[in-house]
Amino acid sequence: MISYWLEGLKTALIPSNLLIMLIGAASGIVVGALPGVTSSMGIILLLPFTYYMKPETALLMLTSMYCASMFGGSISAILLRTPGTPSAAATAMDGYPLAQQGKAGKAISAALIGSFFGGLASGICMVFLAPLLAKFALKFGPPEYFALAVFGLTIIASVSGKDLVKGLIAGLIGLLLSVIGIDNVTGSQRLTLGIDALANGFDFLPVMIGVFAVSEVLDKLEKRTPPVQTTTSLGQLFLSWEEMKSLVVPIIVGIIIGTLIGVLPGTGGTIATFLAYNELKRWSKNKEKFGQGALEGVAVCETANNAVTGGAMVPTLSLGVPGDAVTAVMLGAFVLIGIRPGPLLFTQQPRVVYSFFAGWFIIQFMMLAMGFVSSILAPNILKIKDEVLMPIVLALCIIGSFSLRNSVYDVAVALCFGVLGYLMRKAGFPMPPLVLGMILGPMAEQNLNRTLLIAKNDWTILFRRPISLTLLLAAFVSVTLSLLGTYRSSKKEAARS
Amino acid sequence: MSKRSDVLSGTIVSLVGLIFLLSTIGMRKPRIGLGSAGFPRLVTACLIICGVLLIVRASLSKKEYAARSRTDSRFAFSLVGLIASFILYIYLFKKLGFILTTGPLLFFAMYVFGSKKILLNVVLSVVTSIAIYYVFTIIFKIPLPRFSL
Repeated sequence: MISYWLEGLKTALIPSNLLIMLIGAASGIVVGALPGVTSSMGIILLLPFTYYMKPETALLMLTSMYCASMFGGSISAILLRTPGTPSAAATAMDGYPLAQQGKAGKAISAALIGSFFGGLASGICMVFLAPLLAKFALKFGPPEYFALAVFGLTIIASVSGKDLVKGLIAGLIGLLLSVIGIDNVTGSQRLTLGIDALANGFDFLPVMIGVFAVSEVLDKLEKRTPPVQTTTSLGQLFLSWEEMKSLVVPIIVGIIIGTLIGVLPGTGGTIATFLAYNELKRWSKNKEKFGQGALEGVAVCETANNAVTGGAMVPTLSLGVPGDAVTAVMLGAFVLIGIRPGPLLFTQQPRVVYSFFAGWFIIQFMMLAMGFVSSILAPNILKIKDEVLMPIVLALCIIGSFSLRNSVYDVAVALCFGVLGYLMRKAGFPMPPLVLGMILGPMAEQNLNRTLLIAKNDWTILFRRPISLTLLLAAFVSVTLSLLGTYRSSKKEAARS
Repeated sequence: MSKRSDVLSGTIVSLVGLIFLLSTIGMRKPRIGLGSAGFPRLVTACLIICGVLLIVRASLSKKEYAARSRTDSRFAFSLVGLIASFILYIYLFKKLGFILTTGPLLFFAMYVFGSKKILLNVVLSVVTSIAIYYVFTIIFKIPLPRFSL
């Protein structure tokens, strides 16, 4: 174990890897800060840069983008009241009033310190929990893996937004896309409708580039929001000793809630931040300060959403089941760079795993350093106009899809799915379920097939094995809770109107 | 979302599901296991059910849907123009090479996004496509198509 850690640390500390992490952290902050450019989109746009890197280097770059983008979202939440990422929505509640009071610099510092500790603490949790869970998952056979895929697919219910039916449809479209092409078992073509081009199926990356990035460009084209007046004066950046002390409790609350929520599949940063904020407010002696510009409010939200990152990595790394929508994209990215998350990852690619673990902690320090630099530059970053940014995003989309296999077909797939994704967004279909369907589809199909082969078509095997039964029950509970939540909120909405 | 939009999307989803379901008819079911058709049939059947559910829900709903958003004609032209430029771009990409096709696409995209400063757009699109080309081909060793006679 210690030798793995030492080797991992050695890999993470190679100067070129440090530079790559620094670039990842800087671009993550920019991506997070720019409203409309989500963490998922940033990860997808960064992928083409990693094709020719070693898997561990690529992993470090993507991870630094992932962690830093979580903090980056707070910059626009504080300065523009427009969260750069959905999980920074709660940060705006206290961050923007602070900016209006001329304390934007202090708000960003509180967000940064919270993000740093949140990332560190959730990293520790990940390092302990992920190998344990992977060890447990080594006992899994095909029925358990199928049940796990079903449980993973129930995340669709929680990432579907207000409309579960539309979320299910998006998830089913993802599943459908995953089966088009050559069947791995029989080698025959299926669902190609006689179109030769479809025999290759749909690669994950061009589809993702299309539905997340190109469709976003088209969406921005429609909305064309006028440039917002940014807060140009940050005020003082450094916090006083008293202010630092006031952040201790919010940071602890954020760490506990964020990490717990992160570990649970189907939740995510947005839920964690609102929950942590509400809990802190509930227990605070100065409730009235919240919403008026409380540094504690900013710190708890940012700690919670960065604490989610490490927590969400636990099921992603050890089971191959994403914790939320962003980790779903991360999971797809892992597969593309040649890393197959799951219980075997820890035994087959320990070098990759431990360089990732060691890199995780270095990334948090880099994020802290880059965060301070970017907070000074923040008002300028936010001035980048859509009319310049979006065409550049478009160019990166084209490159990203082309360079996967040097094929124009992939560019066409990305652009077609961009248009399809845009139309789906317009009709109110959420995009994250589509990703989950595409990722978990092959896992579900292959393991269901193996299960039926082992059990000679006896489906009851799924309910006779304790782990698969538990996972299927967990899937049932997860969907039921989601449905109840949707029902309650629609009732509340109806009562309000 | 409007009722009409939900009925339309439900119909499209059901039809897509049906077309793919019908395409599995010729596939034989093995004695044991799922076979090639088992999983696709399950997925397409669920897709049809969800599509029908969407249509029924929209048709029966008494809830006031948000007023149908009117599509701005300028946006419609821009979108059609951008899609047409995508098609042209894909057609010419390998023939003319990355720089000669991406530069004009970026210029056009900037224009439809509302940047009317022609000279600035020209400079930005040329510089961006050349910069991306060299970053990818030289630093990342990703070969991008080049113009050749």
